[in-house]
Amino acid sequence: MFPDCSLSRMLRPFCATLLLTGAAFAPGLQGADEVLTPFTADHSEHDFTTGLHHLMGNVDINVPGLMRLQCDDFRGLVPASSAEATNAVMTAAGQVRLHLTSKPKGTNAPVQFLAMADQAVYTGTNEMFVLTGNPKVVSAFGTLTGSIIRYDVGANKAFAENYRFVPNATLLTNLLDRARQKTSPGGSGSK
Amino acid sequence: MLFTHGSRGTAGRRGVFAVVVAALAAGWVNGAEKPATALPAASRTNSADGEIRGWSLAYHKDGELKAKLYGASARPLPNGAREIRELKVETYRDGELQATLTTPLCQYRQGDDIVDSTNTFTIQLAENRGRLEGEGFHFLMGAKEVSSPGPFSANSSGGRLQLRGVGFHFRLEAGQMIVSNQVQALLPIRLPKRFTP
Repeated sequence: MFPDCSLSRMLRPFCATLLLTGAAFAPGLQGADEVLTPFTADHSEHDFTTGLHHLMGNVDINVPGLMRLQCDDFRGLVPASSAEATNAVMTAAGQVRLHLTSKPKGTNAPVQFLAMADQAVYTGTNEMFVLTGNPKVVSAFGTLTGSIIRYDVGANKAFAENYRFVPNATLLTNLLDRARQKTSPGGSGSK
Repeated sequence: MLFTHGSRGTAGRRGVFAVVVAALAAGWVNGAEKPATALPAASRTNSADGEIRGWSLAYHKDGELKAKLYGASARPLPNGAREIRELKVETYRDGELQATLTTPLCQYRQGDDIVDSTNTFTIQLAENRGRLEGEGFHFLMGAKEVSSPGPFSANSSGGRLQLRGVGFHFRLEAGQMIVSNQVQALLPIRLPKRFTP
């Protein structure tokens, strides 16, 4: 996924962290027997026979402190019974902005991630997000772009096609300084 | 046109005759092609302004019972409609109760089979499958469609789905709903499990 060079090896964990760690995509409110997710939108269409819910205009799914999804158009297919809730399929389209807050492994400080794309599809059966249409993920570590970015939530892995990662300049400077210290005679790297 | 007795008390011939005459005079009974069938309650009476108490009506379409309407009173209005107090509409599908709409005050236009109201209303789906409350509605009995320009709230049985908004159109037969403005929804869409706190 990442080029094999010393810099990329240094950046790899951060790149991985960018998408792979604990993105807190949390539910909203608790219903009688299952989790209910809060939505707001300008208008909507609901088909209670098929379970298709279509929200349009300034769609906002906001779970404070954990996750926020904003888009122009959202379609969610809700299974008929709560027992099949994992079969849900969601499609967000039009200026999709997915804000995630996570705590990368080994740290206590939450890290903000912002994923943007023309379209994002989530399927509950395999817990997979697929971002298409100029997908981009921005965080304090840098910016990841690609033709398609897939995020396997269950495996906690991301796959980007035709990717490009631009590290944060400050982060890059710090990493280079750290690398220099490790390779210098008095640095920890000489031990 | 079939008249049947109501559920309250026993009417004398004179009372029944008066009711029938009043119904005919008010234009409720326009001929065999009309789908609605008045069900005059025995206890209902006519006042000077034509108000009828204990009012009820059966609505048929294509030979099938589609709805039953009950009202505490029905008063003719200059525009040809009737002002109904304490209206209860039961809709039916294949003979089974489908939903019940109630409102304290509304207008019923029998010729168009339309119920209008600017008052509060409640729609309770049968078998406790869901409930819808709001203010102001327009009910097309033939199509079984309810629309409202006002604020409303709805929830399904067990709270599995909750909806709020301003303005809606609900197709009862198809089970479809359009919300016009300011949608707030709680939907049973499960997000990734591993991020559940």
